[in-house]
Amino acid sequence: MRAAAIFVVGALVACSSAPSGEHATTLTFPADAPPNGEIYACWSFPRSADGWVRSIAWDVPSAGALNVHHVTLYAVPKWDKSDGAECWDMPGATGFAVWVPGVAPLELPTGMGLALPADATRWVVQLHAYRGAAGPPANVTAHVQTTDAKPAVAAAWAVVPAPVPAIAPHSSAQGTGQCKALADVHVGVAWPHMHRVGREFHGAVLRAGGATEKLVDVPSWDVGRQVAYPVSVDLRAGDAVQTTCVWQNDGDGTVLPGYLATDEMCHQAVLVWPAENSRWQCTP
Amino acid sequence: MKRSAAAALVLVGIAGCRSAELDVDAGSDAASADAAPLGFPLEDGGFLDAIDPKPKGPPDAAPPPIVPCGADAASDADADAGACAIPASFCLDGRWLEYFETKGCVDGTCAFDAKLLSCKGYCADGGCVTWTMTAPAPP
Repeated sequence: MRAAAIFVVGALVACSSAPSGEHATTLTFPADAPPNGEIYACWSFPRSADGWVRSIAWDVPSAGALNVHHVTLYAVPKWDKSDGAECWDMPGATGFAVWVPGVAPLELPTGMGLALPADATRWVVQLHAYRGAAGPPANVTAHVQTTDAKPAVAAAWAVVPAPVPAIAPHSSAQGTGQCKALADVHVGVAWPHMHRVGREFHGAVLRAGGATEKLVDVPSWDVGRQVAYPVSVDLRAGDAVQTTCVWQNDGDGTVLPGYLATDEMCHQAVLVWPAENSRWQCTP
Repeated sequence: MKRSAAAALVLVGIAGCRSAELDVDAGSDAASADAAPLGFPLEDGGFLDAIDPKPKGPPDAAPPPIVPCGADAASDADADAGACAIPASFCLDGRWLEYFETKGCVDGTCAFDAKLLSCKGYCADGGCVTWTMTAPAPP
């Protein structure tokens, strides 16, 4: 109980500097979870700069008694939860970057940026963490670089999810979903995501003409090393990105879809540009 | 005092979220107790939707398949000790996922517990579609 209280009332720090149109914003918040417990909690910070996101880096404590499953940075039009409050779905939020074990900092190429929505008033960081033994909390920091100058190319994240079934004990299962591009876009990054019983991940491009091309293949999934893969694929309107996850549940209990570390998920986030062409139709 | 109260709220909230997973007795009246407080079944697009737009409770779970096992099995494969293969989960509607857990072979028939899960996101193609980052484009 004491440990849980710390992350609710822990100090938050948001620092910003603004030399010549470039802004470095540091968002720091306390990460903790109750012993043998798991949390999904959010902290918010004033959006201190307009413009475009150029890079996002993270300082996250290495796994020990406290395990950070992920941290996601969003921009939201409004936020009425208190710091450290439980948060799961993020309706209306625009995701900018996610930290997971193994992922590298997001640094966009020169001349490229992620647009901050005009109506976004606050940054929100969502922490998913769990711990075994009791221990001290740790600080997590997001370093956000923004610029006032409109980049030559605006990029955006899009998510291609797949349905996750209930995965029976000692069985395998598979889920597949796809999103069709409604306009021409370039795909520059593919970031697959599953949880603990994920075994294989396959990302593909389904051409409107019927051909299938590999986007990213992870034949041996490791939840502790969730890499964002650089790719370079041009999609024409009508082409689709496909996500396929394969799970193997070797345990005695059913693994359910959901957000917890013991649940399962399946999606890939793709970084595409130009942002104005990031329009999709997803199935299922 | 304040710190403890705040922590308790967080923990209660997490526990509450998981309560969306229901264990139901498929096909029985008990399964629809929440969904039919007035004593008659609710159906999608039915009368009560028109007068009560509030979100409904879980729908009735569909009964599990009847699978013979043991000496009553129709084939050698069915008779195997592990023949009570758990049926695949499926979507009852756009929100609720029904899945099964086995209780083994009972009196010549595979016994399954039917359970319901309220999907975070939505339910489609026998699974829950959830995501992090930006929400996907709708179908």
